[in-house]
Amino acid sequence: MKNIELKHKLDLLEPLMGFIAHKLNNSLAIINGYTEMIQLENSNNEKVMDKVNKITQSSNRMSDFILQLLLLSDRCPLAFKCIKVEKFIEMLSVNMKDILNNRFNIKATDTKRSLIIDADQFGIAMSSLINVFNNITDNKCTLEFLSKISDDELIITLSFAKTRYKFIDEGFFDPFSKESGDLKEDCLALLLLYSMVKKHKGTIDVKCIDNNLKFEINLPLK
Amino acid sequence: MGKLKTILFVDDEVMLTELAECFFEDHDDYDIVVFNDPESSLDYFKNNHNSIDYVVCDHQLGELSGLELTEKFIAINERADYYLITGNFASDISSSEKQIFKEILIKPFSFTELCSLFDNKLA
Repeated sequence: MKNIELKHKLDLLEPLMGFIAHKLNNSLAIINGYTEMIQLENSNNEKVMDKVNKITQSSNRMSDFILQLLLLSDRCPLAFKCIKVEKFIEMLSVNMKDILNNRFNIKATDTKRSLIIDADQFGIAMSSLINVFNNITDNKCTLEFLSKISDDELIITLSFAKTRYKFIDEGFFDPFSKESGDLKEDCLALLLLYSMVKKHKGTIDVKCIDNNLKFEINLPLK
Repeated sequence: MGKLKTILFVDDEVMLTELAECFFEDHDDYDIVVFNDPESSLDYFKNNHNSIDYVVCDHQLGELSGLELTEKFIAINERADYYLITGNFASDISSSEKQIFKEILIKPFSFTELCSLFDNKLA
């Protein structure tokens, strides 16, 4: 498995991921439904509500995890649409604000150009990565978002400061290349962003300099 | 005083239909009828379509999709409001096909959220 290209590995696992996500989603719907009823029936009971809130927080995390699995599976084919770069960045900035509050900065040029993209799914993939870095840095990481057009490609640079990374190894995006004990919380989000860029016929590269991670994503405009 | 509106709920997951029945059991505004298999729900709808106000279908029902089932319901009576529940982004449904639904809900969804969608209709 280690010697097979990552994209091919993902293709092989897509149906299984979709099946797992579907089953988990159904179970989560049931947990959420009964939790909802307990909330409605005990809204005046602080002790019960505290416990119910913990269940809700955990099920929200589970829901994010399942969404990542779904996007990696074969159950969410991309819906490509033409969107202005300006609009795309606006969508991404809403997500960044939700997660990072004001711990991010955006610089974008040539935003009047358009690109063909599934903005919803791509936005979720990017948000998943931002979210997980935010969590593992205890809400301390910051993000510089740069975007420009060059040779009919949209180039997005994401620079995360204050991450835990001191270096990156070959197979950074590839959880299959690591021993199970080396897998960290960001492995699924990294895999998802990699997969999403590849599905859009783009490229992604990453560098680590002084605890700062810099992703460069190139997406063809057409 | 009788229930105001009737929901027809179709999902092949038995625990989900049990949940739906439990949620609406003592509800003041809605009555619910549930089915786990699309053919039975279709038979029921043929005989009771005039009394059904909302139809909520899961997208994956086995041999028949939620979209296909809804199209069969609409062919009998298009009066009701039709809702689809899906676990993904419903990317396999075209924009024109999505038009037949009042809303498409992504799992996991909340029954309170579903009622608020119905309530907009009541308002």
